Amino acid sequence: MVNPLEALDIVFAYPGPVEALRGASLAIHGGELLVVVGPNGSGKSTLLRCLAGLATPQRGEVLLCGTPYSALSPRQRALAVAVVPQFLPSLPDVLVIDFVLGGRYAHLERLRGPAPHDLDVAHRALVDCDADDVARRRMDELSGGQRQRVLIARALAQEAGVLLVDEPTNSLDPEHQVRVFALLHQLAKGGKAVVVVTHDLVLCGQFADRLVLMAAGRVHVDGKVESVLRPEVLGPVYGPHLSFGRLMGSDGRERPYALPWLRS
Amino acid sequence: MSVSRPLARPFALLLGASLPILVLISASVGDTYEPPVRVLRAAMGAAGLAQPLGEPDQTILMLRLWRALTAAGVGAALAFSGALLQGLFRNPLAAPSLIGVTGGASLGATVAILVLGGYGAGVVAQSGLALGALLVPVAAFVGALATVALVGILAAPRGRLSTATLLLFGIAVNMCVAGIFAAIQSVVLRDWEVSRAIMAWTFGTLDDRTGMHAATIWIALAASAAAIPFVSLELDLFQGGEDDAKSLGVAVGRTKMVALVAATLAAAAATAVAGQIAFIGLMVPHAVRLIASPRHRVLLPLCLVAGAVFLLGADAGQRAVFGEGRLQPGVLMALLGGPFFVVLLVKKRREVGTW
Repeated sequence: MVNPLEALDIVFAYPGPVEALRGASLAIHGGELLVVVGPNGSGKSTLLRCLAGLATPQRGEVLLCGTPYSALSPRQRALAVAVVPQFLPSLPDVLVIDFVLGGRYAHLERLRGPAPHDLDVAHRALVDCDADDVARRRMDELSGGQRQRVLIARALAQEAGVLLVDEPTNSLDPEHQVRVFALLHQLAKGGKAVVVVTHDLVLCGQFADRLVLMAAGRVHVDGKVESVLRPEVLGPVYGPHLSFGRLMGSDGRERPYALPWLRS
Repeated sequence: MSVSRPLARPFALLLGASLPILVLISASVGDTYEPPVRVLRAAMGAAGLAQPLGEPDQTILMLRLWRALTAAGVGAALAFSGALLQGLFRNPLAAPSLIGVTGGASLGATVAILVLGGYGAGVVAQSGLALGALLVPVAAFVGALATVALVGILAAPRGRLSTATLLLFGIAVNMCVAGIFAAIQSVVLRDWEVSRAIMAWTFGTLDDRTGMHAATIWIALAASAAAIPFVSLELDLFQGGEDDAKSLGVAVGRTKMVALVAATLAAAAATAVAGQIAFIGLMVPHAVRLIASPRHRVLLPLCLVAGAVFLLGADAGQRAVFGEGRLQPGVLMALLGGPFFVVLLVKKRREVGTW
């Protein structure tokens, strides 16, 4: 089977001497929650931007079902790949439902606004993200947790097979962090390919189906959570200040985790 | 993408209905009052649908009618251009002058006035008023387009147009143009006629407009308004940033180019036929956003109508109160625009801090 999304040996440099990505390869599968971790500057966010088509690699290629991005229009790409951004302006004049309808853009015929069907899809996306109660609120009235769920809902309204999520738990309280990861996990179980970039080495232990560790612009390790969340794998990349442990997952199986912890 | 506003529909209907009425009223008022029915007769007479009025009434009323139609077109074009640029720059204070339209037009017009004033080939100076009436608007139009093109080329190395860079180069090129403009003004300062002509042009005028002026602005307006279906949804999505719009499937580069060309064409044509009339592009989109909707599908078409109504109404009002030729519309707008800008900033002070 062709991978829905695949990065082939991509190199990307921002203006300046340092390459953010130095030959990163990654295949993304449907039905899987793939979590990308790595220290600051390891290239996680740039990898996500390349996968989203927001940055064009100087070398290598991103393939969507085997077709290179360069051969696709933004609209064709948006029908297959949706992005949940980390930052957005506050959008004081925008209602939540209208914001989520923005996810329908790639489906709209030119010269025509959203149809009733698009409104249905947007509402369903809000229900799926447990955010239908805020549909008529303004975007700048939302709490951090609500805002994150609305962002995910807009990506769902895009009805794309691939979901790229950039640091979704930043600035959320623990309750909302867990709920966001549980939601993304559930979406992956529903068949979507979900890629999450995060610094959270606890929740990724519980929810990730596959874990990718980035280091120095490359995919350093790509494997099961059990094989990556280990002192001998993370230690050389992150440094010594991590504490490892295991907790019982909701499925009754033990899961590894790593916590930041100052060691003398 | 917006908060719905209950006043949107009545507002649109009111504006639409008042436009033709205002055209007639505007042509009725002036140093002598003529009832709107006579204005209609004159218009039908000119179109060959009725017996023309006797002279000089026929000529006077047709001049007033052309003035009204030009005012409507110019107001529409400036408001439309402002709305497009504010959406493009995601900044409610953006205006056509920002990307060089006004500065370039002023420079073009000034060069034309210099040539007509005998500073260029002497032949041109001899050829009289008809050429002058044509040369100044054409030079202003060319000056505006050339300046924006220069800003665009500087801001888009390798064909990628960044709005932040566009803004910075707009400011830089505007400075250069203003420098040349000041130098020319200072050189011809003692030539009373030429200095006066340059000064008068910068005030913006609707006096002595002809069918050619009205036709120019309305044709340019129709061409720019054709952009509406291609940028409305797109500019709504721009509000989350260009990357966000791109990830939703918007062809960001094309949208920016279409919006920029449409905004430039409208504003350049408006400035060419009526000189500098500032602040409409700032005030009208704000009012429409507030009363009707910030959605570009509603905002852009409504700005066309609201801009037309606004300048037409302001021009008719000032002529009714002060008489013909006292207060130029450009000056009136500048008087209204400054305080409006201050109030806007005071109200938005909290947001401004985050720009």
